[in-house]
Amino acid sequence: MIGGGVLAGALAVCALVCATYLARTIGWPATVAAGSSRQARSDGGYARRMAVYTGFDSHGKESGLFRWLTTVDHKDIGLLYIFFGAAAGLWGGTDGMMIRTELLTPASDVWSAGTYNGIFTTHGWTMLIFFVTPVFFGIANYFLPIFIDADDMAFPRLNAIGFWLLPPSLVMVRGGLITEMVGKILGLVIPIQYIDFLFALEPPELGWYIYTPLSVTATNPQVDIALLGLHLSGIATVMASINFIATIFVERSEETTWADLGIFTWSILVTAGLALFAFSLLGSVLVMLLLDRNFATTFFAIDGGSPLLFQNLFWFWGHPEVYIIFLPATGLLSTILPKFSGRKLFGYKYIVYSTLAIGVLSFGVWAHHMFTTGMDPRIRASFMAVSIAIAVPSAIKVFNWLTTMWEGRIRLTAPMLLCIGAIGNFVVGGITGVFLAAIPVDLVLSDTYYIVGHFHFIVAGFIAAMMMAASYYWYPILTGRMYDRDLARLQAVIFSVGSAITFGSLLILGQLGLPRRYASYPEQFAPLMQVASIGAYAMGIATLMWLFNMLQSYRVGAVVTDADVWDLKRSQQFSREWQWFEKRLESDYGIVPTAPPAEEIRPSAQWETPERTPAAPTAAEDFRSIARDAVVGAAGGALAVTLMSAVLGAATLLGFLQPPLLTGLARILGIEPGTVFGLPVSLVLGFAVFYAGGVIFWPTVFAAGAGRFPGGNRVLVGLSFAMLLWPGFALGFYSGQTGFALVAYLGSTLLAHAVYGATLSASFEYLNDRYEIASVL
Amino acid sequence: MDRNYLFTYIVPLIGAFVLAAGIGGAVLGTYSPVQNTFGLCGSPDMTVFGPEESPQTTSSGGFEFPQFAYEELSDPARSAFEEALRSPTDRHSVEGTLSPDEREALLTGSVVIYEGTEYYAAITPHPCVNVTPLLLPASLLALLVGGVGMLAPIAWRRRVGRPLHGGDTGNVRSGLALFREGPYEGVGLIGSFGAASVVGLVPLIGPLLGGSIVGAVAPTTRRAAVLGTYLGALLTGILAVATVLLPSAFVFVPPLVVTLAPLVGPPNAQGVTILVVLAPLLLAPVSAAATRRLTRSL
Ligand code: HEM
Ligand SMILES: [Cu+2]
Repeated sequence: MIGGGVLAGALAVCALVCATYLARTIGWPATVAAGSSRQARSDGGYARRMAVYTGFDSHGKESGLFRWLTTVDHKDIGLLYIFFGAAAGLWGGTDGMMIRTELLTPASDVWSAGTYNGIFTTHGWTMLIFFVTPVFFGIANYFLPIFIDADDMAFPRLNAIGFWLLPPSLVMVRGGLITEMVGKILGLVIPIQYIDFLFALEPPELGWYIYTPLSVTATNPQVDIALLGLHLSGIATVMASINFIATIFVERSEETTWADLGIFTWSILVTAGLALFAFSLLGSVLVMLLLDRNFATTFFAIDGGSPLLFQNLFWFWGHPEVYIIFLPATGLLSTILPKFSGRKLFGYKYIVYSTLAIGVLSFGVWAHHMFTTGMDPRIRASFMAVSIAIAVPSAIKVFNWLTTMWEGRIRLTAPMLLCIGAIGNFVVGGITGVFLAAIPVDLVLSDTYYIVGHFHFIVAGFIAAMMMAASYYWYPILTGRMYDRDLARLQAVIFSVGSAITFGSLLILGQLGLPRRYASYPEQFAPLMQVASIGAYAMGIATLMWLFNMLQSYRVGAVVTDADVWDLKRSQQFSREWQWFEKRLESDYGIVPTAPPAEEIRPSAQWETPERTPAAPTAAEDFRSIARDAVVGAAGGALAVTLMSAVLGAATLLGFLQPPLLTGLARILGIEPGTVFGLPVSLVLGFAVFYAGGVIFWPTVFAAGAGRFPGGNRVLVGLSFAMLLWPGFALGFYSGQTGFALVAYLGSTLLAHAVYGATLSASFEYLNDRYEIASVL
Repeated sequence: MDRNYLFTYIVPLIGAFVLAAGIGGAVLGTYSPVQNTFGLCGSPDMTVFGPEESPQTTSSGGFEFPQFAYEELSDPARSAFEEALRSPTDRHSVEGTLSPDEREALLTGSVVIYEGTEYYAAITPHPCVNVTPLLLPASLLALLVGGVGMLAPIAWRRRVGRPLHGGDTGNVRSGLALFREGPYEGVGLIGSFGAASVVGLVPLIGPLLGGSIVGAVAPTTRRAAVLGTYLGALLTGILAVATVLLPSAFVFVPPLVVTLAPLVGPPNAQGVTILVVLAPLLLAPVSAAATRRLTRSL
């Protein structure tokens, strides 16, 4: 036995030696001999000691294990949170891979059905509670005080306690697996009957939402331990939330006003507010459940209590929890995306408002998880309304992100690629959510794989992707080194595409009616299930690539010699954390900051570049230029509307469009029927109004707003303008066509508008150049 | 296409998905014989609900569950039934074969009358993985092709003489030095200490392994020994408490010693328990210090 131990130890050492040897022979590190600590700088000097920079100083702190056990520094605690969360995420990810492996085959043959139930339960808990929130709280711990220029969190010790409650609660929640593993390892050498006690605890098989009555009647003692663990983690989350709220309210420096807060800070504030109310409630629900299980209370019993009460209480926590994990990710996206778009975040205020709106609304939608429970239809309908309403602020965010990128100087770095992929995944995840919020749809799709697809598009394709983006974006600050950019880009693409494949297949499976949470399924679903598993393995590969990049770059990555790693000064986005980094590099490592000075950044609230104001024109010049603009506009408009009329006329002749609709105006005005130039008066009048609108009204709107319509060159601007008008037109002149007629109708009006927009802007452009008109265009 | 772009992104991207496509088949293909050899499949699990919970299942709407007297059950079903009753998780696997009728009835769920009381019993099948023989070679091929594709960037970088790491590598830290010196020292220790205190609970082998886990990331040999001592004390404490609560916890060790080293003869149970409990005090520090020394150069 001792021999076995020595052997195992020797094997471990041997593996270490081999790995190092292998790494050396295949060429890591590549070029420079190990240990050179001098780094050339762009100005020809050398940066001192940067090689030993590891992300933070240890001035005046304990060292070694003791330091990490006793630290109250927000940066250290932040790192502990991040490490813990990442470890939990890898563990939960392993569960996910095991789930997908079981589902490769229709029968429940890889693991037993019980094991499968256990894995999906603990997968959910681990990911939602021990992965996402800790990682975001870690990032916030590290950076939030820097963003608001605070010395530390408001309550540093509370901060430390909040973190240290998490590892024990994770062990409690997942203890069954640990004892079972020890049992299984021992079982290889020891007759099982001697170590039976190790198998007394098994992972609970309840699903992450522990519905009663099953969770009351399940006899597995591990359920109680896990509930206590969840309770403990809830306490930790509440503590951290109080701390964040207090920090943001009272620890801001004098200069940091509410309007200066970055989006990430806002989203952490809202998240913490949500968590404060939601997790306190979860605590009481868990206690009630424990009492029901162990002390014969009947809160949730079928006789004398109500299992549905449990669902109500659970989702009153559960839905806000969904936003607790989602909002910080949107905060990260809103922070990172503008940096690589070269533009300030579009609509800062609206993003803040939408975050606050989500915060409030998220407490009013919980019953959309219970549409199938047969509650009062009137109550159900009101929950449907609020659930659909909550999609509005989410959509506002998406539009603001897209508009931020539009016409930006986009740089496809790894964090940016992840942001782009995340927006795409969020659109799918969000829209499927809106579908589910509609009761008739939900009644069909509830408890199918459609639900799993819906939320994984967000939790994996959006939230996890944003964590990776943040890890790349701030890697230089955390480690003083640069990650492997090629590898990271590749990883970003594999991850985003992998999640779209995996969860897209789940959406289809759900629509085909496959219920979730069974280890076995009918044969005909196997191909799609296998595609989903392949996508999942690709995500697993991408995750390992990320991990490798983080670790390996820490060893051999290029040392940072200029704090402006991302060239942010150029777009005036060299934000607080980077300024802090720059100061630190200068004071500790003698790296002189590059120009321009960091003071020239704009606060978050100010998202437009201050324009240079031209010299005021005189009144006469003013008038002449206005007149010229008007003439040019009318000329362009006339040409455009003529061509458009030609297209519409052709469509009318082909029968795609109903001319009588133009004539409605005459009837409204009460004009007598008659003829002018041989045509009905009503038609002529209608057409005249239409034509005048095309010549005068729409060109004016176009000229006034041209700077604000998206598009690269002016023809594109004109086209996008016309596209904005088209839906109104199509709706207004719709006369009940269906089938092919509808398609033809939509197509021909679309074409007409395209012609109008393109002609309008092209003629504007031509006339402008020709007559040198300084119009708004 | 620009070959740099091709080998840096496109080839490994395709490679990754090919690799992913191979994983499933490779896992199932290799797991299938293992599962059969170690008997990890085949026997269904029986779940038994007691008189309190069973009415919830059996009285729910219109379905007549088959009824059995306990005595009517076959031997394997009977012993599984009793084990499941005894188990805290209400479940035990059925060793042996059931007759088709019995199997059918238990698959839908049945009411079993045992000592005059109604119990609800049901089995969940756990068939063995069964894959076509061609799957494994095909998947291995996919793994190979995909793996080569994913490694293409390395070969390409080497060919064009770029550093193998995507950033310019100027300065290298050694792998374990991350944890041994510099400000991150200690982070690794926390994790390894945690892992070691779980692994270390396995009698005798555990403290050795746990000690070397802690030792590998300890800053110096001496610190390794100190940390190993802490670990040993912790493990001994846990084991001592375990033995007090569960006096029979280590009764399995003596027969084991006999099977492993027949010449020694059957040792005294109490002595063995004391040995197992106290061993970490010595083993953990020694293996920690030894590991630290042996991995000096890493
Ligand atoms: C656009 C707004 C959203 C709407 C309208 C929406 C709507 C819904 C609805 C109606 C359900 C219940 C489906 C059912 O069980 O029958 C659901 C489930 C779920 N949603 Fe959303 N959702 C939205 C956004 C999100 C976001 C941002 C997340 C973020 C993580 C999320 C995570 C989840 C989860 C985890 C579940 C499933 C819980 C479970 O049954 O296990 N949803 N959603
Ligand atoms: Cu919800």
